[in-house]
Parts: sequence; structure tokens; C-alpha cells
Amino acid sequence: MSSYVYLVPLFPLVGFLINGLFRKSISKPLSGFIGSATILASFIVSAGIFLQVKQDGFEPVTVTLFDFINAGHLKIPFAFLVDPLSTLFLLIITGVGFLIHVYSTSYMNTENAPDYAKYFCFLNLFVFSMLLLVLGANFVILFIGWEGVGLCSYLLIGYWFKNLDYDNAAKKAFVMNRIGDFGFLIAIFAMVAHFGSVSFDEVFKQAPAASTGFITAITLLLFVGATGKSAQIPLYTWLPDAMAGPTPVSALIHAATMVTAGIYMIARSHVLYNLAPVSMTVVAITGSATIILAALIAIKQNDIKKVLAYSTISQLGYMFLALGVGAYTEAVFHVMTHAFFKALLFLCAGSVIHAMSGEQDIRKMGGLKKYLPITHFTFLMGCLAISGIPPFSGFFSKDEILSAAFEKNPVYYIVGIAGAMITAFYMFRLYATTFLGKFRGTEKQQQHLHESPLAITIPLMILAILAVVGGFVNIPEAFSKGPGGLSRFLHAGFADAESQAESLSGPTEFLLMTVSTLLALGMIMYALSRFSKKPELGEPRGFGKWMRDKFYVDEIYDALIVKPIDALADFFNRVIERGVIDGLVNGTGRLVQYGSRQLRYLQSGQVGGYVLLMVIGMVILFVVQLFLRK
Amino acid sequence: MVPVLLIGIPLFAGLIGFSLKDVAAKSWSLFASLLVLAVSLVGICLPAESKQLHFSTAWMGSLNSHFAVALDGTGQILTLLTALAFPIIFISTWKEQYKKANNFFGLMLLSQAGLMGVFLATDALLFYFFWELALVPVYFLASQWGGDRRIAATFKFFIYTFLGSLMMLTAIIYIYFHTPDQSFALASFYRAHTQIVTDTQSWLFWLIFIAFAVKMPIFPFHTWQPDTYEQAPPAVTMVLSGLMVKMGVFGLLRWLAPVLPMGTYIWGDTVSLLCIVGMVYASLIAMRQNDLKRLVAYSSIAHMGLMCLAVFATAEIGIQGVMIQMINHGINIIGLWIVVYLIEKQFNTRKISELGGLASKAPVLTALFVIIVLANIALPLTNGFVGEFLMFSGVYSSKATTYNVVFTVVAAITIILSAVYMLNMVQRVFYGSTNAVTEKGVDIRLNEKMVLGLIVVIIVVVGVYPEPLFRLTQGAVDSLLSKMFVKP
Amino acid sequence: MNSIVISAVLGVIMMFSGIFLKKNSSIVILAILGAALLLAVAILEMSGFHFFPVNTHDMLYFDVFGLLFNCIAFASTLIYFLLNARDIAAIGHNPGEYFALMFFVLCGVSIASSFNSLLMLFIGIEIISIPLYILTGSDKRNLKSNEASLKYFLMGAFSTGLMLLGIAFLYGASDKGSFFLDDLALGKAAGSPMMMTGLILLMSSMAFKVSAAPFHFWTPDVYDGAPTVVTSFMASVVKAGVFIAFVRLFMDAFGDIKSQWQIFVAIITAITLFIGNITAVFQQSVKRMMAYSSIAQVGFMLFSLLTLNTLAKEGIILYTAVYSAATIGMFAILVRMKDFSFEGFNGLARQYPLVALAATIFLLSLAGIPLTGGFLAKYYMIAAVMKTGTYLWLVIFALLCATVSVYYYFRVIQAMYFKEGLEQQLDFSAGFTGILILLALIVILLGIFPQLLINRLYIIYI
Repeated sequence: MSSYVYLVPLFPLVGFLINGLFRKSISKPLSGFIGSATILASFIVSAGIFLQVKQDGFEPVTVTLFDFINAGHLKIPFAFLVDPLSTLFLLIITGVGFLIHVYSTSYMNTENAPDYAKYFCFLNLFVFSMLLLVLGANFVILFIGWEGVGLCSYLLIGYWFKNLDYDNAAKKAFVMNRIGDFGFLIAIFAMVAHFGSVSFDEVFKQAPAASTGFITAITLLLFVGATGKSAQIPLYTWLPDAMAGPTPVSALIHAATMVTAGIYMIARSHVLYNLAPVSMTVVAITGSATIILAALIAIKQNDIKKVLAYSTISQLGYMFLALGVGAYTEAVFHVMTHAFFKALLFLCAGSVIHAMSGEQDIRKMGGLKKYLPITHFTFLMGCLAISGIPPFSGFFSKDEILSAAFEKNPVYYIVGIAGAMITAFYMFRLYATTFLGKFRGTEKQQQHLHESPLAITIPLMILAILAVVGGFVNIPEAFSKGPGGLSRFLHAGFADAESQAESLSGPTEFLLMTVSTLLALGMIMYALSRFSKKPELGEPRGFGKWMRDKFYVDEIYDALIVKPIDALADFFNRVIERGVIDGLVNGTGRLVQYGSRQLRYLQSGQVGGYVLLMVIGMVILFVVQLFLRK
Repeated sequence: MVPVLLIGIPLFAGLIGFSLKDVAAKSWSLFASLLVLAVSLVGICLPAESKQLHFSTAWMGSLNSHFAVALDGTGQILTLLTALAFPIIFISTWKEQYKKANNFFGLMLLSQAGLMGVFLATDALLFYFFWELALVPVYFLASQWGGDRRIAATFKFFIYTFLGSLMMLTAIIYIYFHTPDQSFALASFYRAHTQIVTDTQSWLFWLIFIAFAVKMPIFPFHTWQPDTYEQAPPAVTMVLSGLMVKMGVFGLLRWLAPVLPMGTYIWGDTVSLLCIVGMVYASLIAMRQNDLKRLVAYSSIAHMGLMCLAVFATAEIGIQGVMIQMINHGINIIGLWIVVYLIEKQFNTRKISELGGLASKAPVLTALFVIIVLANIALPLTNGFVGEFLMFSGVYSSKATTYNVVFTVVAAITIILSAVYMLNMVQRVFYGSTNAVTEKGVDIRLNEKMVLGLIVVIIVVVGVYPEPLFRLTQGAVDSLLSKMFVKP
Repeated sequence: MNSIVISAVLGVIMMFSGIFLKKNSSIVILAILGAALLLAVAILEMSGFHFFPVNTHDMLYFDVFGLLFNCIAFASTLIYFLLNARDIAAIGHNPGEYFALMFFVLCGVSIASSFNSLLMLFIGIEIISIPLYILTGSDKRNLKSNEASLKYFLMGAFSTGLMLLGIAFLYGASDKGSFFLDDLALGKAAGSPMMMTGLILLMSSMAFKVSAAPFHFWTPDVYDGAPTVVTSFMASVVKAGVFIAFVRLFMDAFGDIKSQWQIFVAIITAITLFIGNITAVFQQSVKRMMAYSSIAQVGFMLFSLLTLNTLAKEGIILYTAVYSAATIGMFAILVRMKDFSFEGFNGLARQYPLVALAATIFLLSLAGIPLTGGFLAKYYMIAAVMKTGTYLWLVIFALLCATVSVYYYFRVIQAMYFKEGLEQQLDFSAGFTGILILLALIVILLGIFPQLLINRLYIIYI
């Protein structure tokens, strides 16, 4: 089965081509169907591969399609690697991806045919790139997908290109990702230079021989790339703006799949990271910091999608924390559960926005519970899951991260718990303000309120189920004897790493679980009691204002980086280029002109003058002659 | 025989072209350029040892100079590009009306002959002849059919390059007198460096390098370029930026680096520094341009800087990258120029600030253009990525310098900057809502679609499967590196 | 010997032609035939036919170098006549005399190209100069012309004085007390102060004749003042002839002690290149610009004097040929122009494309662009210096100047092609244009196959 892995990205590619080339002629249902069906097809193939990989004694296989780059000693095949890690991601991407495609067929229905086709064309291209990213058997193929998803994110954020703010958001996303890619690329160049290869197995085989300093440098550079793609400090500011895109896009790209690429990349190259403790610490600290910062900002956001965006950033922080403490399985586990409940939350948000005819400000919502029963219920499931309430999926994954963090260093644990509490708080603030209380929107909106069609609600329900039960694929050892299913599945890949993140003794873990659960529940109660009746609608003051204004990070970047660069460019353009360099060139010309004007005065027209000058000339010759004599 | 045809066909077709009626001249030159393309394809297909690829006959016996041409190594790539570019240029500017069209097309073909000669000559003096022969027609083209400030701009360009070539000529003569067998043959030139002490090589280097630096152009010899590109007619701008600038890189690869290995080695760091400064500098300036042509011009300066940098890194993959990128850059930038030309033709403005919202009026143009732009900022699976990736890797793994890491890092900043200015441009020209100027915009015609489509296809195919190009250039790269000085 | 005698005879014939030929046109034809005949005998002499076996007691020495140059000079004259004979005749009332004077000049040229003794050199140079004084002033009613003539005469006299002085010194310095070139730098004479003094004096006066700086001052005024058609003759054939004499003198007489005087030539070359090119930039009249350009060109020719090796010898032959062709061509057009300013050329290409094309080729050749003879001529000069391996700085300097020269030559091209001009009725007959194109073709031919000319140097029948 795994030899057919090339089919997985092939289907979306075909879909992309069809929708792209015939966008003019193709009908909306058809393009929607092609868009979704191709993803379903790849999901089926992925499932088949998964079943094979799941069997015991499966060895990772590399499927080489053709030589991509073959320059002298550097050989970079266009090859796919099938192993538990990539297979798991295949399932997440194609599975969630398919649901979101279905959702989109209805959600984007207001678009006219060519744009509709364009949308699915981009969406398929995204899935294709994402699959390349996780399937690539070397860093270059990974990077191809990496840039590809970045491009699609750019195209889809700017999908409504008539709105210049959206375009700016799209550009911001692309450029910030490029800053990350800058690091990633340098890391690849370094690998090429030192290992003469970029294929995973080759690099990982040689890595132990290399100096720690070098490995640290590479891993840090790779991490720069990860912070860009996975929206971590300092490169996270593009993600909230990315909400400009259609909501299904936010769900698929900016919550479920693309933003987890950074986690995948680090998990993939965990061999390197294990060799570089410094980098691990950096990753962990960055993750923790991001958890808190993003969570704090989320508290004061009033745009339903912005809240979710910041919560995504914060959740990604958890994953990086996990990676930083060497708990790779846990990180990937959280990627999976997060994909479920965050996709769910976003799609619900979409359904809400749909019902509210485009309104995104939660202060104008409220009491939607009775208008959108399904959306309301599924959204609640999502909230519970993300808040880590047992037995919802979020509980298991987050808890394992926390326990791993605890036994690495309690400080991380404290941060994690704090983050979890804030998360619970702002999620239920969001929930309460949106669904409880009474409706605060306009009359017109109230008329229009309605539950969304099946194409939207069915994916919600499926995702809700996954969000609820998704956690059981990896029951912690505290409950069951032996490691959880997912751990066993992934164990092959992370065998070398897991050893150092050996999980804690039962009792301690129970203790930690209860603590976190109780705290989370406490925050939920507080949030509900506080917001269900009278949600805060006024302007925040003091620290709240800071949180509302995202701690002015964008403004700081603008002042520290963007403005100076613009000024420098302007200086070069006006002064150096026009004045100095071109000035020199033209100056030479003018000098000649001037010299010519002066020399011409020698030509006085007076014979006497001429003869004099001639004599002087001869005298000079004689002087030279005498001079030579000496 | 093939190289002779490659030079002869455009040369005589051009001379005939002068005597034709305007319309006939247009079709005639297209036909001739297609013929050249066919011949060059044949040439590529022939085995390397084929007799047909070499030609040499005594010429100017008193000077020991031969009319020696050969289609091999680096030349292959660039002759292919030249042969490919001209039909594209002719078709894409088909609707353009020229006064005295017969002279225009005649001169165009002459410049093609000159370019072919430059890429094919294996005799130093012959190389110099063609070097100038390529320059003169372009000078006339630009200053006769160009914009308002054309005379001054192109004249500056001419004087600039002429001075460079004269310097090169001196160096050529000097080396000639130090060749073991007193001849201009390329082979003898490659042996000459054994007779030239390092100190001499180090000043000879600059005499030759300046000629190439002006052509590419390398900072700070670049100021002729934006003006000239801005003023020259579209077709000529395409020739200038797509092909002529390659003469500089080609010169480095065939007539400088292997001829003066020590000189090249000694000045490697200095030149690399110039390249890097130029890359960042040009990218920054590109961010401030409001004229599409000037923007493309500056971005081209940045790209050429990278190529030059990779050459001086003397690393196998780097050189390999340069070879690939020479073709890619040619294709991509011609694509950019075509779009700029189409826009200017439709709205008679190149001012970015005056345009906007084209995407809603011309979706096809937008799609094709965005792909070309992505290739220009080296997005993976476009041809730009392959070349730039290899060049950067080459610079990083360079043994020729101790600053390889610094060079790579600083140069790589342009990866970010290029995205900034290119996407800015795309956004301000194509996105947003239409304005008074672009209100009546329409999508492109079929022939334009076909040309741009072809370019996009090349971009993607080369970007996904560059293997054939690698096979084509591997030999050239090896022989080149065997001649260059690489620190043990 | 053929050319000397025949040219002199032709001179006499032309002088009296005015008596029995009344129509200008017939005189013109006669002159053209004369030039053709002259060329023929010169070629025959090269091929070994000596009609006048005169014993010159080694005062003259006919080697292939000199003879080949004679052919070049006569060929140039022939083309010059074909192009401009009508204009020559139109200068004044008695056309015959002008042609006569020119034939005498040619006689002087053929002496100057074959002298073997300082006396012959002196006679040759004077035979060249004196008719020119008259020709310069031949436009009697034109004050500028008279002034130019007078200036030329005064300064010419001065330089003649220098030359005699120099010859005297050399004579005194030489061991045997002889005027023969071979004896001048022999034994203890070589490098003696007296000899060097003579050498410098001689060099100065020759520099004056070829208008090398700082002895060039007469050139712009005289070239400008003289009737354009005469300027053409002076700037091409005459200048080339005198220069050959210059080269010959130093090659045969002082070739062995090059090192002692090269520095002077270097200095003169540098100054000449600088003044010639730089001053030309500012000129507003094409005629005057051509005057300065002729100075600049001499700067390049001087390289051959600086090095005196085979390349130089071959080069100077090529240079004189190409330079004469281009100059004659440019002046021929100039003669027919109404307005000598750059603006006068505006839009010429629209009206007279062929003339403009020819002019462009001449200018490209003068500027030294490849595929024209001008490039190879300059190439030889540079190569000659590079071969010696010394004076590289001078080469670089020369190239910088050459770049400057592009500036003023291309101003004319720009005017003709890229600028709009008024319709102007110019007298470019079909025949005239045809010969012009032929001349342009020669220039290009020499630019691609120089050996056509240079190989002649090595085919010896004598």
C-alpha cells in the first residue's frame, strides 16, 4: 500500500489543476464535488497506508519518484517517507481537510462560479502542499511543501482581493513566513555544506559526529522557521490578521494543519534537537512564553475569530513546550486533538458568522443558543475539549504535556497550568457572550438568524465526536497498563527520544491531573457566572486595555523594523543612488565638458601665443633630456 | 557547422531585413528567429563530440586570430536561451507599431547574431568583436525607438560599456602576448596564466572584470541600467535584460575565472562583497520604485549579484546553480517585461500608484503574472528556486573564502526583501478595487496568453524536473572547476 | 622614383591645363585621370617596374614600406578627386592651379616616403608645405582663408627653421659628418648632447608638421580657415605622408637608440591625446571638431613611433589608409553641407539614408568600433605597445581618451539618426553617394580582412 503513497498528494493536485484550468467553464456543484472528492480519495489511500503502518514490525519506507536536484555531488531525490509520524499527519490533514471541504461547499455558496472554483483550486493546492510537507523524505521536499502552504495561505487570506486590508494581511503572513524560511533555508544550506545531503536518514546518521555548536546552530535556525510557520513569539503577529480569510480557511490552514507544520518539522528532526539541549530549552521557553502572552491577549478580544486565533497561538505554544521538554509523542498527540477541536470551534464560528450575516463581534451576539442548537452544542463540546476537561480529548493531550513538563522542570508546569486556566476562562467568556444571555444584534439580523444547512452541521457533528473521543487513542499509563495506543504507534519513530521523557509514577500524575482539572473547572464556573448574565461590553481599562491592544507588538515591530528599513531604502534611493553613484558617473562627464571649455582658451588665435607655447613645449623636452642625463 | 549557422542566419537575415517592407520584415524576422531556434535545438541534441559543433578557419592571419566558434559547455545554455528568447520577444510585441520597422527588425537580428557570437566564440579577439557587435545594434535600437530621454540614457549606457570593453581589450592583448603559442585561441588563453605572475593577474583581473561588471551589472557600475531599461522600447529591454546581462556572467565563466585563476581567487572576497552590497542595496531601492520598469530593473540587479557571487564561490553546486539560473532568470525577466509591456500598452502608464484592481478585470493575466513573480522570488517548484537554492548552497559551502557563512546570511536577506517588493507591486497593481485608469481594463489576447503560458510552462517544468538542464551543464561545470583555482 | 617624377610632371601639366582646357569639367577629368595614372605607376613600381633608373646616390631609398604608402596616398587622392574634384575646381578662378599644387604636394609626399638622407627629408617636407600655404589661402576673397594661410606660413617657417637647425646639429654630431640616416646615430655620436639636441629639434618640427601637441596650435585655425575641400586633403593625405616621413626618419636614423628618446614621444603622445580629445568635446562646428579629432588620431599614430616594431610598422600602414579613407569621406560630406554645426546634421538619415550610413561608418571607424578598419588600426597601435611591455599607463590613458572620442563622434550620429531636422536641399548626387558607400565598404573590408593590405608589406619584387 505504502508504495502507492504518491497517490495521496496526486489527487489534490489533479483537483487543483481541474478547478484551476477550467474555473471559467466548470459549474459550482461540480467544482465543489471535485474539490472534496479528491481529498476523500487521498483520505482513503492514507487510511489504507495507516492500516499497513500500524502492523507490528513495519519498517519506514522511502518512495523515490525522480531525481529533483542532481548537481555534482549533491543528490536530492523527490522522495516520500512513509512512517508512523507522516502517516498520522496524512490522516489528520486529509480527514479534517475533507470535512472542511464539504463544509466549504455550502459556506462559500454565495461566491460566483469562477471564484468558487478558484477557492477550491487554492484549497486543493494547499492540501497538496501540506501533504508534500509531511511526506517529504528530505528537508528540501519538506521545504517545498513548507513554502507551498505559505503561498496558499497567502492566496486564501487575500481571497477577497478587492479589500486592501485583506491583501495586507496576506502579504504580512507571507513576509513573516519568509523571515522564518530565511532561517530554515540557512539551516538547509549548512546541512548541504557539512553533510553533503539533506535527506533525513543521512543527516541524522551523520549528526552525532558533528560538533554540538553546529547542531545547536542548525536546530535554532530550523526553529526560527518553525516560529514563523507556527506563529510563535516573535513571529506570531500574522496569524490573527490571517483571520481575514474565509472561515473554513482559518479552520483548515490557520488552526488544524498548516500552523502545526513547525511542530511536525521539529518532531521530524528530533534527532538533531536531542543533540542540542540549548535549542530544546529555547523551544520550551518560547513555547511557554507564547502560551501566556497569546492567552492573555485572547481574554480581551471581541472578534470571535480573533479569540480563536489567539487561542490557536496559545495551544501551539503548548505543543512547542512539549517538544522543548522532549515529549514528542505528546506534542503530536496534541496536534491531533487540537486539530479536531480547533477546527470544530472555527467551523462553529463560521456557522455563527453565517447566521449573523457576516457579523463577527461577539458583543453584538448573545443568546444564540436557541437559534443555533447544533452549532451551540458542538461549540460547547469544543470549549470543554480545549479547556481540558475529562474525558474530552484536550484533557488527555494537554495533561500529558503538563506531566512531561512537570518532570522536566516544575516552572514549565506552572506556566502550563496558568495557561490552561486562562484558556478555560476566555473560551467560556467567548461561549457565554455568544450563546448565553439575550440577543444584542439588530432586528434585521434577528430575522435572519437560522441554523446552518446539513453540509455545515454534519462536519460539525463529526468533528464534535472526534473532539470528545479523540483523546482515547492515547490513554495515559496512569489509567491503563502500558503506554497508550498512539505512543505505541509513534514509538518506533521517537524510540531514541522517549527514553529521556520517561513518564511519571501513577500517583503523581493523578495528582497533577486532578489539580489541573479542578482549576480549569473553577475558571469555567467563574467565567460563566460572570459573563452569562451581563457580558462586558464597555471599553477595558488599565491592563485590560493593553491586552485588548495586543501589548502593542505590531506597533513596536513597525517602529523598530519596518519604519527604519523604509527610511534606509528611501535614503539609498534618493541620496546614494541619485546623488552619489550616478552623481559620480555624470560628474565625470561634466568634468570632461568643463576641461574642454577651459582647454579651448589655449586656442587663442594669436600666432605669437602659439609660438610661445611651442617653445615652452620644446623647453620641457630639453629639461626632461637634461633631467635624464643626471 | 551548427555554430556558424547560429551566427550566420540572424546576421544575413538581418541584413536582408533592412531591405524589406515593414510588415514583411516583421514576419521575416520571426521566421528567421524560429529557424535559429530549430538549429540550436538540433545543436543541443547532437552528441558533444560531433564535428558539427565546432568550426574554425584562419582569419586575420597576421594577428594569429581565427574565426573559431564552438557550441559547447556554457555556450549551449545561453545560445539556447538566445534562440528561445527572440521568437518570444517578437511574438509578444507583435502588435507594436514601429517607424521604419525594417530597420528595427534588421537591427534586432543583428544583435542576436552578436549575442550568438559572444556565446560561441572560442577566440579571444573574435569574442571581443562580437561583444561590440552585440552592443552597437542595441544602442541604435534603444536610441531610435526609445522613450523621451532615450538619447542621453542609452548614450550613457554605450559609453559605460564601451569603456569597459576597451579595458578588456587591453587585457586580452596582454594575455595574448603571454600565451605559450602567441594565439588568441581559448585553449591557449587557458594556458597563459602559467606565464603570468600573480601580481600581474591581480590587475589584469580588474581590466577584464570591469567590462563584465558593467554588463551584469554589479554595484556600483549599475546606474546605467534603470535609465536604459526605462527608456528602451519593450523588445529591446527584453533583449538587454534577458540576454545581454548574461554576457557578463558568461564572460566570467569562460573568459575570466579560468583565464586568470589567481586573480579571480585573490579578488574573490572583494567582488563578493560588492555583489552582496549590491544585492541588498538594489533590493532596498526596488522597494521604493513607483515605475514598474525601474522596479524590475533593480530586482534584476539583485539577482545578477547573486549569480556573480556564486561564480566567485567556485563551488560545484554554486556554478551549477549559475548555469541553471542564467536560463531561468532570462525566461522569468522576459516574462515580467512582457506583462509590464502589456500593462503599459493598455493603460499607457507604468506608475504603480496609478494602477490597481487589475485582478478583477484581467484574471488570466493576473494568474500568469503571479506565477512569474513567484518564480522571480524563487518559490519552490518554480525554476527560480532550483537555481537560487544551488547558488546559495554553493556560496555557503565555498572554500574560496573564509566569510562564506556571513556572505550567505547577508545575501539571503534578499530572499525576504524580494518577497516584500514583488508582493507589494502585485498588490498595488492587481489587487484592491479598480480606479479611473484601470476601470476599462480587459484581459489579454490569445497570442499574449500563449506566450505567457509558454513561459509559465517552462517555469514550472524546469522547477519540477530540472534534471535535463543538469545533464546539459554538468560537463561544462566540471571542466570549468578544473581550470579555476580552488583552495585545497 | 616613378611616382616622384610622374607626380611632378602631372603638376606641370595641370598648371598649364588652364591654357588649352577652357571647361572646368575637362580639367577635373584630366586631374582624375592624372591621379589614376599616378596610382597605376606607383602600383607598378611596387611590382618591380622602375621606369626611371636614376642613380640617387642613396639619397633616396625605395623600400616596400614607402612604396606601399605611396599607393595608399595616391589611392586616397584618387578617391578624393572622384568625390570632390568639382568642389576643388569651384574654389576660385583657375582650377588647374589647385590641382597642380596638389600634385606637387604628392610629389613631396613620395619623396618624404622614400628619403634616405636628411636633405631629402627637408626637400620633401618643404615641397609638401609650400603648396599648402597657397592652397590654404586659395579662397582669396575669404578673410578667414587668408588669415589661416598667413598663420600657417608664419608658423611653418618657424618650424622649418627648427628643422634646419636640428639637421645642422645632427650633421655636426655625426662622426663622418654625413646627412645619411644610417650615419647619424653611429659611434660616439649616439646619445651625445649635440645629437640629442638635434634630435629634439627635429622631433619638434616633425611634430609640428603632423600637428602633435604642443605643436598643434596651427591646426584648428588653419583647418577651419582653409576651404573645406582643401582641409580634407591636408587632414588626410598630407598628414599621413608627413607622418610616414616621421616614422621613417626615427626608424632608420635613431631606431637603435630608441630608449634615449622614447620618453619624449611618450610625453608628446600623452599631451596630444589629451588636448585633441578633450578639446574636441566642446566644439560646436563639425569641421572644427574634425580638426581636433585629426590631432587626437595623431596621438594614436604616435604609438607606432614610440615602439617602432613590426606591429607598429604594419599598424601605421593600416592606420594611415583607414584614417585617410574615413577623413576624406567625412570631409567630402562636410564640403556639401550648408551648415557645419552639429544641428546641421539633424535628421540627415531621414533625407539621405545612404550618406548618413556612410558617415556613420566613417565615424565608427574613427572612434575605433570593431568591424571597421579604425578598430584594427587602434588595435595594432595598442598591441605594438603591449608587446614592448612598457608604457602600459600610456595605453590605459589612450583608451580613456578613446572613450571620450566616442562622445564627440557619436554626437554627429545622434544628430543624423535620433534628432528631427529641417528639410535641406543638399547636393548629394547618385555618383557621389555611390563612391561614398564604396569608400565605407573599403573601411569595413579593412576592418575584417586587414591582411589584404598588410600582407603587401611582405611581397617583395624589388
